[in-house]
Amino acid sequence: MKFFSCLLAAGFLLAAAGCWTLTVRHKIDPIYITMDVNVKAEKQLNEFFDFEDQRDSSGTPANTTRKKIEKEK
Amino acid sequence: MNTFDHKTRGTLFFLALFFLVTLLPAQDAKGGIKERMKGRFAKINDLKKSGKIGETPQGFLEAVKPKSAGDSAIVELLTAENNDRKLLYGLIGKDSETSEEEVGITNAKRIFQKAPETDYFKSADGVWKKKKNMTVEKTEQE
Repeated sequence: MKFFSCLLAAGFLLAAAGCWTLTVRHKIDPIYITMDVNVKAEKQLNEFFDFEDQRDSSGTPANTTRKKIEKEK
Repeated sequence: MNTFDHKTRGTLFFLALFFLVTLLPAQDAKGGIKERMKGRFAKINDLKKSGKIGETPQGFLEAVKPKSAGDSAIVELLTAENNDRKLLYGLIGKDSETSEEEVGITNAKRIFQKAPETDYFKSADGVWKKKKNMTVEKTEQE
C-alpha cells in the first residue's frame, strides 16, 4: 500500500514537472522572435538613414550640430 | 568545352532572372526613395527646428500648429515625405517579415532617440510635446 502511494505521488510530481516545462517554452519563444524581427528592421532603417549622420562642412555629424546649436540657445 | 550542360544552364538562367525580377526592383525603389528623402532632409530639419512640424508615434510627419497645416508648401512637403516613408516601411517590412506599421513604430523610436530636446513629438494621447517634456516616453526608450 505504502509502495503504491509513493508511486502515485511520484507520478503526480513527474506530470506536474512536465506541464511546467511546456508552459515556460511557450512563453519564451515569441519574445525571441519579436526581438529578432525588430532588430532586423532597425538595422535596415539605420542603414537606409545613414545620410542623416553625414558630416557637415565643420566635420561633425548633421544631427550633432543641430543638437549643439539648440543647447547653446 | 562547356562547363555546364544544357539543363544546368537553363536552371542558372531562371535563377538569375528570378533575382533580377524580385530583388533589383526593391533595391531600385529604395534607392529612389533615399534620394528623394535626402533632398527633403534639410527643409524638414528646418521646419522641425522652428517647431512647425513634428513626428507621430507611427513614424510619420505632421504639422504641429494649425497655421502650418494650412501652409500649402508645408503640406506638399509632408505629403511627399510621408508617402515615401510609407513605401519604405512596406519594403523593409517585407524584407524583415514584419508589418508596415511595426517598421513605422520602430522608425519613430529611432528618430526620437536621435532628436534634439526641442523637437516636437505627438504623444499616444494625441498631444504635441517637446522631447524634453516627454518623460514617460523617455523612460520607455531607456
